[in-house]
Amino acid sequence: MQKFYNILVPTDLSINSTAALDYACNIAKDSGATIHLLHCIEIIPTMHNRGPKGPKATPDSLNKASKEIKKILENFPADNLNIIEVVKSGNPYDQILNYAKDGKIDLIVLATHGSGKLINSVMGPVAEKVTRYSDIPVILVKSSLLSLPKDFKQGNTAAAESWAR
Amino acid sequence: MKKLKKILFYSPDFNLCLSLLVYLQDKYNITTTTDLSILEAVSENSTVDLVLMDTEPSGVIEKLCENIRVKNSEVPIILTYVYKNQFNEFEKKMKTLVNSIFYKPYDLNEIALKMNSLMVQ
Repeated sequence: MQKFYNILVPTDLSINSTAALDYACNIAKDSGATIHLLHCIEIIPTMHNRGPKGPKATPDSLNKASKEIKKILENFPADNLNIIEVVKSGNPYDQILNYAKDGKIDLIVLATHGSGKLINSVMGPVAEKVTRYSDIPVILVKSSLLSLPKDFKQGNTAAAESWAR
Repeated sequence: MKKLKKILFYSPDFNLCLSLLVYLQDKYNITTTTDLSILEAVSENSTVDLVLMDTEPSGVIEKLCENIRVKNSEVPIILTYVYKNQFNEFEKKMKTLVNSIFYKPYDLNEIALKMNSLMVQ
């Protein structure tokens, strides 16, 4: 039976999508795997960003995404876990699949929004395409954190209780 | 490299999803999900070789299987659950929609054999 060494967790930086990180952390705790938290800045080609190597994200947007990822990680009890933060630009599912191949990933954990209107949600088409084209095992977890307050942190029970109500 | 058959497994239980993924990953290209809506979207639109569902029969599951059958009639479906008398009403219809039903507790080797035989057909 194969052990997991590298787990890829794609995130669109929403609380819903990072719910997958929680599951991945639990798997990594047992297996000692490294988590690769990947955010992809989706760039729609325009007259201004078109170039020989395709559209690129601006340094500002890359920095902003990096900061957002760090903020997400502050809320995770990731003691003794090795988490690599990765920011890429381009088509999300292409980037996820390319990174999975290049980064020797052996498991992808991806959150879905569970809204029922999958095709219209942000992560839905990405999850569907990753599932369709990935040769690597994929776990799609339904996020139930649809309206989690922004100030939710571990220990902030008042915010959690209010959300639960 | 030999292309592995694509299996899609649904269970609301994340631990079962993970266990089955670990068990089957060497032999199959496996995707597991705890989200029923993704099961529907993926099995209707993608090239999945087999759908395995761990869920009790219900009107929702019946409708889901009907949709899969309409859009992807060839894909084999296996259903697993704990048998209860109250499911008799759904079971008759479910048997026409799925290829095989396994009652819990089941032997994973038996399911693996069934999966192989369904994908060879």
